[in-house]
Amino acid sequence: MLRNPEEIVADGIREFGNGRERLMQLLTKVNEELSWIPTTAIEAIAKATGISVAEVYSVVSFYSFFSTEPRGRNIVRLCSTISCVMTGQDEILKALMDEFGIEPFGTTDDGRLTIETTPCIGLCDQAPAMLVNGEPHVKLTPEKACEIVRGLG
Amino acid sequence: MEKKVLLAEDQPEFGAGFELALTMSPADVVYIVRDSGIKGRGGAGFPTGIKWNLAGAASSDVKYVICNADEGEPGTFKDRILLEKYSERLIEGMAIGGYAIGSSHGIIYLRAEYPYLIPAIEEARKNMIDRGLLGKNIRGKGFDFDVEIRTGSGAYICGEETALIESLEGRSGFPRNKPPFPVNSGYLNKPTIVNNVETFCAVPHIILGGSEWYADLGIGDCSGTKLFSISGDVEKPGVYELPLGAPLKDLLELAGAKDIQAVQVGGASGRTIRATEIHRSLSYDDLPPGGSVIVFDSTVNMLDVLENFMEFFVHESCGQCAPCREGTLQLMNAVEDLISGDICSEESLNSYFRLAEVMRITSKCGLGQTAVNCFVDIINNFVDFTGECVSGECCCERGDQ
Amino acid sequence: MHNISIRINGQPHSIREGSTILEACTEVGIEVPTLCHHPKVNISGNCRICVVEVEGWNTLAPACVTPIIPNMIVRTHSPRVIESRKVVANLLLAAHNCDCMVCDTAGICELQDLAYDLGIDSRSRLFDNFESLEKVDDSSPVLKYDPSKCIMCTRCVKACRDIQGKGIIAVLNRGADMRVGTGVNLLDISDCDGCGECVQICPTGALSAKFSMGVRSWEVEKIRTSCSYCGVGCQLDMWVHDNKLVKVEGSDIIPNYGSTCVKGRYGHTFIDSDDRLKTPLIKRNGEFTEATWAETISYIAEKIGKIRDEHGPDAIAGLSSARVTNEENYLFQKMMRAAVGTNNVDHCARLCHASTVAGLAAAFGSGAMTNSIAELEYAKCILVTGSNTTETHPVIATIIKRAVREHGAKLIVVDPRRIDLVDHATLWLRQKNGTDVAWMNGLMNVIISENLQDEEYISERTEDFEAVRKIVERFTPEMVEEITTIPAEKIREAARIFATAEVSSIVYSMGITQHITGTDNVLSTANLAMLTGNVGKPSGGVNPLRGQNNVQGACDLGALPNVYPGYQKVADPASQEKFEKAWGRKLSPDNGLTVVEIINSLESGKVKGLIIMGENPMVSDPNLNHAEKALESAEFLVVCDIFLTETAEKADVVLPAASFAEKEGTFTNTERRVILLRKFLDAPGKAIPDWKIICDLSTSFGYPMSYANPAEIMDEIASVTPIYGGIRHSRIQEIGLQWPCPDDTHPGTVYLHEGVFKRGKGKFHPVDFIPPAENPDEEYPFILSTGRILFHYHTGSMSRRVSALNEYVSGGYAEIHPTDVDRLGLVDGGPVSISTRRGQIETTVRSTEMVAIGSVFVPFHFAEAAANRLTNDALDPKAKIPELKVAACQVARIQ
Ligand SMILES: Cc1cc2nc3c(=O)[nH]c(=O)nc-3n(C[C@H](O)[C@H](O)[C@H](O)COP(=O)(O)O)c2cc1C
Ligand code: SF4
Ligand code: SF4
Ligand code: SF4
Ligand code: SF4
Ligand code: FES
Repeated sequence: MLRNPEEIVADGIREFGNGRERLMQLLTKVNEELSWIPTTAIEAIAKATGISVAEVYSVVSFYSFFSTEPRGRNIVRLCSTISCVMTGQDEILKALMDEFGIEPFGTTDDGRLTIETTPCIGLCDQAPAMLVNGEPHVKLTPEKACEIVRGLG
Repeated sequence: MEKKVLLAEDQPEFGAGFELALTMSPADVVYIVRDSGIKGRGGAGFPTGIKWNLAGAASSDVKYVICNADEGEPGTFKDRILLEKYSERLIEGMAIGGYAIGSSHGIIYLRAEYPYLIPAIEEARKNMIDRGLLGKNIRGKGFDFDVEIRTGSGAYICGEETALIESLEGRSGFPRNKPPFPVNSGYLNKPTIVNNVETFCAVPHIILGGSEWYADLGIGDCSGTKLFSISGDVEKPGVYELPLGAPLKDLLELAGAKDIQAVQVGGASGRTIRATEIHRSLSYDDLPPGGSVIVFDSTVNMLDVLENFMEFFVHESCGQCAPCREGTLQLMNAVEDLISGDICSEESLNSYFRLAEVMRITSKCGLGQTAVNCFVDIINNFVDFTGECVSGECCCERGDQ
Repeated sequence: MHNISIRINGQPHSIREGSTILEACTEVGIEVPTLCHHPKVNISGNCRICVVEVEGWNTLAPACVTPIIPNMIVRTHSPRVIESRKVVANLLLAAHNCDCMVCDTAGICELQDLAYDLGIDSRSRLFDNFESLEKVDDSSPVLKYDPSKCIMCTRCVKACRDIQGKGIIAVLNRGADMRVGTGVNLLDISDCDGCGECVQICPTGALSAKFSMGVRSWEVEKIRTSCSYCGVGCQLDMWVHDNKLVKVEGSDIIPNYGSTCVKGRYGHTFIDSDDRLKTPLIKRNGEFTEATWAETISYIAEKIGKIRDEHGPDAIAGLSSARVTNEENYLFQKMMRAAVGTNNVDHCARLCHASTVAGLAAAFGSGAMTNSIAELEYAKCILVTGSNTTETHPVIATIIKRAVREHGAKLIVVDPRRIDLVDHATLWLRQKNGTDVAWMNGLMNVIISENLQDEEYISERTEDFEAVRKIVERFTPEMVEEITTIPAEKIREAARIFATAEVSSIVYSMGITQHITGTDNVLSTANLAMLTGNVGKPSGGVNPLRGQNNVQGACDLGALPNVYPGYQKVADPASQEKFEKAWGRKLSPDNGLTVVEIINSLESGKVKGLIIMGENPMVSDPNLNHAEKALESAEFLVVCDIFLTETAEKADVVLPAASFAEKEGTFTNTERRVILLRKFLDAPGKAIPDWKIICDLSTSFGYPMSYANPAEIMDEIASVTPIYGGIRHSRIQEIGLQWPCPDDTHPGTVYLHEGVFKRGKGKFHPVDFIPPAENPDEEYPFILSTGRILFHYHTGSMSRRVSALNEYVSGGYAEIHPTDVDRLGLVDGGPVSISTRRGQIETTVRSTEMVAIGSVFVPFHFAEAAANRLTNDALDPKAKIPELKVAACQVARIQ
């Protein structure tokens, strides 16, 4: 069961406090639990921290890992920088798109999966690589990548 | 050849450098670091001792020690290796920094792409606490220090130290106008030192080995060793530790590079050179040694590489200053035109070269200033304008004839 | 700070340390172009147009943010610099929708100017244009945002956040996708109140007024005048073309420094409403018929003359107006006193601040704001009570917010409603309506028992303190908690903050004055301020915010039944003699009737003729049902106004007046500043300024009056009104003067009672707590209070003719707590009936936690749901102000 955003925010405030400098931590917490940051969470954070809603929203919209659109419970981030591209990133992306029927930054209808591309994730020595819910997966082939994603809950 | 200090199999015990530092005066610690000649390993190469000296001299009850673990430069992964295996060394280095400048608060700003490193860092912290090397009144010296891990959320620009501070303060990562510099007014407007993971990791070695020993590790005027992440068309990609000032050639040999067309040193914002130039040295005076080296063999179309990098900069420009926000977009546009053949002569690129120079000298931060390097280098070194025009509607209209 | 030596373009200069290169250049007269920089907001350093070369530096330095350092060598126009500016400007233009031909901003656009100065024509453009022609955000009633014209200078964001203290808009996204917005992207969804600060500061046409000026900027004439809405007295630049107002900008001078509220900037379209009165009307057989001026004036003279002849001059009364000029108020009361021969002259100040005038005059000797608006920014503690400042005095609210945000002031709000300022407050005390004396006594109890009072001040500058010490003894925080429901601890905390701050200011408004204990409340504020030594020093004092644009002036100029201009007492024979001499007529020695008394006397038949200038008691007066009957029973009613108001409809004769746009004169704002009104439009039809109408009327009453212009009237005012003694139109062309200004060389008075009180010693008045006249009971269980809102003004006769303001709020409503809404089975936005012992209205539910459980708030601007059908006309015995802020009411569902 997903918790409601206000509850997560309240939890976060207990954990980190409500100072402005805790904003990234609060947002990260919501973003990790829900895969995205709903407006209700933004409002709750604004209220608790005394930052205006627009300013909280502005921070959310700045960072690539935050999303104001619902995303899947599993997030795949495939590296799109040169070392991975030179080792076959495009075939992997194509294989994933074909198998799961979504475009980059798309989410499957069942809400299970979002696939994103992202700049260098610092795994160039083991390219091509991706992060799945934050965990690294390296030396990918199209088959291997699809298998990993298939196995997700 | 490799010279392993930070990555040595056989290293001094974690914490030994800090314990030794605690027997000295903070000022002496700063002097040792300064005299070692170490320059920041995060890319900008600012002398660490001078930075610490300034922060130490700033008067404030509260100061901060921030470790920049936002490693985002394409092709760089050396800090990842250090964090995986040497987090204790890192925290030790931060504690020494805290002692040196008079700060009790350490923050590690870890990029969001490395969440799986958090357990290792936490464990390192716990070990240090268990051994009495973090916490209150460490070793009875009346010095308190602890570190906290904070994460970014997918923004390369937050590697720039003032953007990083903005992010820590709960804002978008817009680099600040400087001055004031963080050493005077950084996190929460308090004096702050921001250093790279590798810089902090080197500090305990410097304290233990002494400044002269460290300085002598480098070649020529360079001091110390440096980690390089190498990837691309090489047999053995990975992280290598070399004396600073070593020729690029040595590194390429170690990693097994063959059929070299181009080498990019310092990541997307570094320089891209031809195979004929690999004798050049990895030093602040020659090829600025960021963390990253990427090798491209003769099969690679360098315009595709350039496009990939320009996409990166368009995506990662924070957007606040006009030359970078609009300039990266224009350069990207030019690259696309080059690829499609809509631009086929060097003259047509004239305004873009003018733009590149203006971006270099007017952008607010390093991103915009260096985003132009790959454009200038790749076009100058790897694009041949003598061939046939591919498009019928290109700039020179040669295709019409 | 000492000077340091630098070189600019080869010339040595000595410049103050800490200056930026830009400041240095400006100082020595070298022009460096800028784009994102604006002196009113924090520097962003984003556009990079101001770059200059500094010898020895690798990169160019943005002049606007770079501080000078000793021996710096700067070149502001070297080839590298010029090249950079051109390239950057080209970049901006390439991303810009260069729509100058149809852009309202053309001609005043800073980007356009830059392109012009750098000579960037379309042939020399360096880059392909790929601006994104995405949708214009026009969801706000008054502004629009066109991203294709935004250069991302972030001025607007900072203006909204730092000048206005709101933070409604922010920078969204990053890189090339950067935009300005509220996050949910539309300007109207969150709390944007349309103040337009962001529009005024935007260098381009990215943020602009929603409705096009319909004329190019170079074709307009700009005329500075004073806002016709509230008592802040904002200075406005009116952009006029072809006898039409096309745009309003806040003038960058005291007191508003460029800021305005939505009414000032976008609320002046009522001026050319079709239904402006254009010709005199005489009611014959129940129907208004058009008449000439001559015929109308002699008709009035005949009717009024008859009443005077038959029943004496006191059977005639006049209501002057807080909306017309000082000169007109002066003439009006002069006409009533000298031409008609009665002191029956009053105006709506009675309904808002009569208790202030009475209370502060008793305590200090002068019944006005002791300090000035600008000083509030530097107060260390501000106690705001009974004033929803954000809505009623929006520009003053921004200053209070800045005091808190930028200068660390502590803000204490004491208000039954959770007003906007609560969000900025250190402490919010929510008292039960009508218990103000109790909490103020409570504060004083704590201050005295903790020995935080200013003994020296009390003994040197005040008298009668002992009586106050005695009376507040009983008011322990615990006892006060029982009366007010404010927790005792909060009383203590507030007392400590207020008493220990370096300088504390009290700001109040109608929440304090409109009670049967209005004068007591005001006396309590004075006690509190004197107890802590806060009167007579900068940024301190007792500061009643006056509601209407010229309510201060109407009082100053004697539109009151007991005083002549300058608060010279009718009852004082010396004053009477002075004015008899000045005006050449015998004057009545008897105080006249107040507004509510006039209304009552109409009904009783004591007053038979009434002349009303620019007031609308049919909406503004308490217990309207009663007022309505009274007006109907008047034998002869003359109303002079710009619209056929609810009151004018009841009149026998209606006179068409020129609006503030169409005449000259002065207003006196809430901080006692006499400010100039300039004519910027011609009046419609036969409408003429009130001062001319009064002259004609007075002449027809047998007391000839004639003046060449309002400046001449002001000269006469100065000659008989000591506090205005040095005020002349010629002296206030730029900046207004604050009274007292006794002579032609006096610079005006920023704050009162410095060193010595007007009355000599400040006088403490012991005040005991008296509960409100009407308390909730079983039959009428709710507490009703009434008041104003941001988007409308007074009886709505102006603001409700402005479509943009109606878009924000188009009709009346009642704020009710969600708990009560649920309990009574009401729905948010649904109908509700509110009734009191005096009347009943039907209006719309607005479910909000702004009000406490058991309380209802109804704005009074809306005639169709007139709050004043409900209010109590119980009077404060001293100031005769009605208790508009507390009544017991019923709230019921409408089936
Ligand atoms: C766009 C940009 C990105 C940067 N990214 C990083 C980074 O990922 N890690 C880092 O240590 N320094 C980065 N830097 C450099 C930092 O601003 C700063 O100079 C550095 O953290 C200082 O540490 P050092 O002196 O130990 O190198 C970046 C600078 C720029 C302009
Ligand atoms: S150079 Fe680019 S990344 Fe740096 S401040 Fe300017 S827009 Fe942002
Ligand atoms: S904003 Fe300025 S440059 Fe842009 S279209 Fe309007 S006038 Fe022209
Ligand atoms: S109109 Fe006023 S409140 Fe609205 S966004 Fe602009 S500055 Fe902010
Ligand atoms: S809307 Fe205007 S003020 Fe705001 S960032 Fe854009 S150009 Fe600047
Ligand atoms: S005016 Fe200085 S950067 Fe824009």
